[in-house]
Amino acid sequence: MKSYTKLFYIILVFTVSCTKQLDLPPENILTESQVVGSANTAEALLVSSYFKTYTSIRNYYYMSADAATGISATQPTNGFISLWNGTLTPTSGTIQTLWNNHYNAINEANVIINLIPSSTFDQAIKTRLIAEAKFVRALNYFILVRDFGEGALSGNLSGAGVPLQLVNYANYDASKNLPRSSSLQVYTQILKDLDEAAADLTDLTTATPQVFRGRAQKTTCFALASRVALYMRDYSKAISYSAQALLNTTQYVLASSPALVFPVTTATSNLALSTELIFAFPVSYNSDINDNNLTGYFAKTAIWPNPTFLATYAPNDIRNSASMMVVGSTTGPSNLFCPSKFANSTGRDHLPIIRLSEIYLNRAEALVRSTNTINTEAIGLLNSIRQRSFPTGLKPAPFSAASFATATDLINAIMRERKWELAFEGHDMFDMIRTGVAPNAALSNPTKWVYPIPRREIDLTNGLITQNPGY
Amino acid sequence: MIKLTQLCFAFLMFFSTLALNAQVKTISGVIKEEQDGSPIAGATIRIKGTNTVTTSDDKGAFSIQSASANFILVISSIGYEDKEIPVVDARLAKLIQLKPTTSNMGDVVVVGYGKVDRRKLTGSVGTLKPDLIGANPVSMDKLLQGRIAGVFVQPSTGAPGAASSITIRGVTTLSDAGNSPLIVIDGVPMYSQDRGNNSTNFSASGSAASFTQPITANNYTPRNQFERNPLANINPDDIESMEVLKDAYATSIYGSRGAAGVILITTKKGSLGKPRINVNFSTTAQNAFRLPSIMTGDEYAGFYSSYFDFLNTNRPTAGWPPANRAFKTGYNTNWIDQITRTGLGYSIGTSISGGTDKTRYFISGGYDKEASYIANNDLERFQGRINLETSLTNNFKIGVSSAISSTLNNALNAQRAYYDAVIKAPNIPVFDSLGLYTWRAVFSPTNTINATAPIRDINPVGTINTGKNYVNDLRSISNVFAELKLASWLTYRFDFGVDWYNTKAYSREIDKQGTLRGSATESNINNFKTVMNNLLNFNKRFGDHSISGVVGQSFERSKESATTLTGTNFMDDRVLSILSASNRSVINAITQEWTLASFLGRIDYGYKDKYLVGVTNRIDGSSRFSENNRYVSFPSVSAGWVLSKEKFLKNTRWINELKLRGSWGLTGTDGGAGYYGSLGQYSYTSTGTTYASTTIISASRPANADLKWQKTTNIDFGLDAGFLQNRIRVTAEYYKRTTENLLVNGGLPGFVGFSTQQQNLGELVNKGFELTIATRNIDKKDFSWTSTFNIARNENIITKLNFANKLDASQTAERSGGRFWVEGGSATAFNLMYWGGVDAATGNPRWIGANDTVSLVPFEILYSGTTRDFNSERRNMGDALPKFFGGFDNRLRYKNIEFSFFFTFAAGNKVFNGAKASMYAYSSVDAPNLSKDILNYWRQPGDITAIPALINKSNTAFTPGGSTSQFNDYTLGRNSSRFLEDGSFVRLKNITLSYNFGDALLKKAGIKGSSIRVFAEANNVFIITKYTGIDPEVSAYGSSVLQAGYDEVSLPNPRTFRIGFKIGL
Repeated sequence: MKSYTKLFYIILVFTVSCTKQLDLPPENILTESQVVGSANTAEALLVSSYFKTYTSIRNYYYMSADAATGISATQPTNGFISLWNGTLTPTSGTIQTLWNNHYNAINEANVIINLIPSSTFDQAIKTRLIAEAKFVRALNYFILVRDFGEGALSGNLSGAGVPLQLVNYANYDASKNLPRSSSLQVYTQILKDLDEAAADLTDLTTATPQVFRGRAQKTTCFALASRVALYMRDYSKAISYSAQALLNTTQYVLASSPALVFPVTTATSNLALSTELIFAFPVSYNSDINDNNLTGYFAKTAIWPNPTFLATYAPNDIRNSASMMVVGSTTGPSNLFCPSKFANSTGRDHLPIIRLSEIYLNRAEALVRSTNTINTEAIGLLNSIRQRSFPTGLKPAPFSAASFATATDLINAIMRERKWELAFEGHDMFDMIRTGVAPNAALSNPTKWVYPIPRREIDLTNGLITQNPGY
Repeated sequence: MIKLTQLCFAFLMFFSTLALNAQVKTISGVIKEEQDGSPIAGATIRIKGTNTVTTSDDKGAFSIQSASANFILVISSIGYEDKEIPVVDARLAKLIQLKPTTSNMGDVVVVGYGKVDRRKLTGSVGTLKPDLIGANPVSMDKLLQGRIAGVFVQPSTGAPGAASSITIRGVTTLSDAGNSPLIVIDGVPMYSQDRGNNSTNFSASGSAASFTQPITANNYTPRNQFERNPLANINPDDIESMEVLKDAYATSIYGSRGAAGVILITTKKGSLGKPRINVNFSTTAQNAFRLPSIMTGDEYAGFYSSYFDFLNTNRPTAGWPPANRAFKTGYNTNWIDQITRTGLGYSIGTSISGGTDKTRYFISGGYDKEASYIANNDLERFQGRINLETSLTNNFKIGVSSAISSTLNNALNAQRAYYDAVIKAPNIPVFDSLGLYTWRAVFSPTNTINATAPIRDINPVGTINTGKNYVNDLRSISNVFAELKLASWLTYRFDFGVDWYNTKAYSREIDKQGTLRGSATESNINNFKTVMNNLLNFNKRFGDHSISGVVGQSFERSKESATTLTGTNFMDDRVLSILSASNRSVINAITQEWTLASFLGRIDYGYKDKYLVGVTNRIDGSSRFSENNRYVSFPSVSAGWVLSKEKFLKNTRWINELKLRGSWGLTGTDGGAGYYGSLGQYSYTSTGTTYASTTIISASRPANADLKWQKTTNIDFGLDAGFLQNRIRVTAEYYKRTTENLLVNGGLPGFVGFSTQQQNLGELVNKGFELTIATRNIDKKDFSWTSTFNIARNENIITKLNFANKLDASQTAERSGGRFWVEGGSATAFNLMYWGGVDAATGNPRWIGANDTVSLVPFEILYSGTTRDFNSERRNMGDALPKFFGGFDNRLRYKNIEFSFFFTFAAGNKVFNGAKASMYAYSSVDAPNLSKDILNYWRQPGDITAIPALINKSNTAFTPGGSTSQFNDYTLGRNSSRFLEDGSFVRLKNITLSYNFGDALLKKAGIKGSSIRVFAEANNVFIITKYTGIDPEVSAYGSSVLQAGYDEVSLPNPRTFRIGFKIGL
């Protein structure tokens, strides 16, 4: 009898001790503090923010800037045509997705920037992760302000930009909803992030190619900043940033021919990354079924280089030669071409974001615009891009100061070169808008040069976030 | 050890009748009330078959003399059931307990962690003691259907082993996981209804098993999923009683899991006496209740040939429709006939039970086979149980209750084959000229209408005859206990229980065009739960005061593991192992654990058994709650007043029992928020995504530091009454349940980094009443008639839904497993676009807007590209759950013949007849078979018909330059009221006739003390309903009550006939 009683006491003590077992971490997830608590998981989150940036801009979001200005042509029934024909509405899912995706990426960058400083792992690693996150944040805000910021490309920097969310999401408090900061405020934050990131980063010498060109280095930050400054028409900054971006001449080298930058390959993984790429999404190194969704170029049935545009290339220009305008899908229309930039049938081509040749052209343009004179350094930069685009023996005469009657002529030559050089890489629509030219007839009204703010944002903030004029 | 030997010996005694020596013996004992242990004075004790009689004294003690050592004592006392106790070798247990008779409403009710005398119950508990004169259904949820007021049980389909939804007093939360009641079997909370956990995937191919339809946004695609019924593992024959706990008094003691109600299952225990052997056998024939009426091959070919001609003239596109577009005639395959049959199943069950004064036992085993009316689709179950308890000393009792079962469900294909048979082109033979199954969907001269249409395998006869598709559950729900009597009024009890639930699911598609070289999926799910309870039960009287109850502590731990493998490209269809596939992958591998540590208590106080008060509380600490919010308390208070014991009613003869009671309390829901509910979550992608060769961890769920737990406040008022010697017993109740902090996916402005989050946004109220009337209409020796009627009314209102952007959030909810919820409406409301019939002048569908404007263009198209939201034109068209529902049971006995019939009914509910929508979905892609109704389509101005012109403004077939591959037809969308119908019904659920070979007859045959009963029954005999589909009691979304009310060619419940016998020895 007594022994039974003892037994019960033992059981009782045992079961009471069970209550200490309430801390059971789930096996398949990590909590926020766990993620930012170790170097490996924090890096995994950082690459997620890169990946989210990539998923935001691939597909037609990437192609739209070329489709808008007639560099590329598409079917009139294309599902994304509203991105460039002025028919977007504030309720469009296309625009909502774009908006949400960029802010998803920004939030992950914010988690790193705000929470990692209190983590305890190696300070050098922390510094690097935070700096890279600032680059990611800057890149996303740049795309957002470019697409949604009223006047952001037309020089009216006091216009409404986008909400500047710089803290990570912890809970939803409607009283902390943000209005749209001005485009200037957004640009300033972008440059601040890039400056800080550049100060903390170096150009890694031991990194793998996909890390070196797929993630931010010191030069990457300056390179992006040079474009940002150019877009916001701060030419002196564009000049200084581009100078810094051109300092590293060992790891970033202009290829002798543009065809070498974009070789055609049927491989599906680990495609080469040209030394000319300052920043590209290294699609073929991502073990993900998600390709770049640009296979439309390969198939030639959804999107293809516009023959009218191709006709503007000078004869013998390599960029319109058989090495860069290839056959693509043999079942597609035989009279159309596929750019070698996106000729991989499985969509594994890297997605170029910043190339060295762009920095040359950024700098050339800023040099001329800053003083409005025929700048010889600018002519030199223009020549290095133009001359390499023709085969030996067929090169045109290099430009000289005498080739241009006015500074405007030189600007026009630079802008033309930019069109040819960066075709299909998602630049042209913005270059036209920022120079005050309607990208196409459907976009003749400048209010349509920015996208509408998604209606849902306005509704959910009770109108704190305002709509762009004209929508 | 010695005690163990005694135990074994005691056991043996039951299996033999020993002759013992004769001499005068004096036997004594004490008679007490079973429930509270109070002594029973004045009971009559008689030696059976003699005139030796004595009575018990004040303390319940008696002694009696007998010349024989082996005899039977018959003990009787007014207000208690008679008891016969065999005395063997002149030994008798000291304590004899008598059970109060049920006619006094004095039966004992099982409640959480204890038992309560129904006369003193201050809460709402519905009890069902299965004692059908026919056979029990295979699965216990079917047993509950229509039997208890306020318990709404809806089967999902007629396929064997398919899940049911069980809803007690309405929808409690707006997340699926929180609306199924907690089911506790012999103290073990079992894994029960959970759509996410219990669904197994069909096929690895990824392509739909059947056609997709040309339908708009929130359409229905046949799901390649089967939701298992976790209750099918329990043998209903083992169930002694089922208690449904409904109000706060009863459910608050289950705390964070009590909000959706609790069902307690108590299995049978042995009772004192010699071994009783029961054998039940029955055989069942199952048939389709009714079959859909669809086109024959020639009608089909005729319709589609002319449709394609019509398209060709009205909407030509280069190269399409094809020049040679006539559909073949001459074959008339009735696919449904090809796959249906009369399914013959049977059940055999046997049990042996009995007990001595020290040991009681109940052992059972059985085999059931349920054969669907779809050929080759069967469910088989083997199960066994042993319930044993023994007193080691006067104060110490130990016992075990253990069940094991193996359920093999081969009926996973039934739903899919049925669906395919409805829509497969009937102008195709089952086999092609080579004797192979004709898998290809359509059969036109080019054998393909549209070259870009995906290749789909569809041949229902092939589906049921090839491949493999099964799910096998191995399960043991068991517990052991020890009970120590510390004092006459105080008992300590320790319980340890497990639910060990293993499932293997395997699905194999053979080598055919859509799954070249075959594909297979195999899932292994291993759920293991332990529960430990330490309980102190007390029960004490001080003069007029009585106190009883329990305090204790409970600790529960669950580990749920799952792995899923897939393989494609097999060498040979006969080799099943996924190892033989040349492409293999792991698509799921996860283990999750959670624990729940709780403290609980219940105190019932009574003064003169007239004024009753109950208080309960439970404090739950869950590993799933965040640290700051880990412990939550769920109290309740209740009170009762037994008016019939008051002086002013005591002499009112016709009132035997009258009690008013009320309760208030809190309950919670732990489903929905999941692990680490309030913390931000990050996870790896299932595909192992990398960026620049580094693996990605990305934010999967936003943090919510403000997250609060959903709490339900329950108020209940009840009346229990018995009139005219309790020939009429009535229970009436009114309740109101308010769930606050309702977790709903709310919209966030995208700039914060997430676009939706589960937030505490809503509040909903269920209120209603329940009425149960049980009558003994005629109670004569040769003829008796009893009836039980129950009806419940529930009204559900979402009183608050703080969606920042209402239409948008409602539509998001609708597309992600919920409904288009509207503040002020019900959680199961149909808020739909209003279909206004067909415009006789143009043949276009008419759409009626919110302010009765009529549009001939669907609002989806009309408002597209504008700032207007078509959802603003929706209106409330009814509710998927009934306004009233219940059951009506009648049982008649004339001498040895018994006859019973049982109706169930529901009124005021709507059913979306998606079956009809599917059969109206003429498509140029797949050309599915159609209802004959389609032939009435609008042809010329003035035609008055319900079927619009084939090309009209509500389908995109009219859009010039549009895609030829897929048309959208807005009239077929599940967001339109076109197919919404009244689902009210009265169903004759069961009718049974049985014959009991009486004692006399059996005595003549030399069988003593036995009973033999033969019976014949029919289930689902007829249904009275306006619903034009086959069965309004189906649901395409399994156990999800939130998505109830959709009949998507869901396999109708069968009609069954059953004959069998029951032998008791």
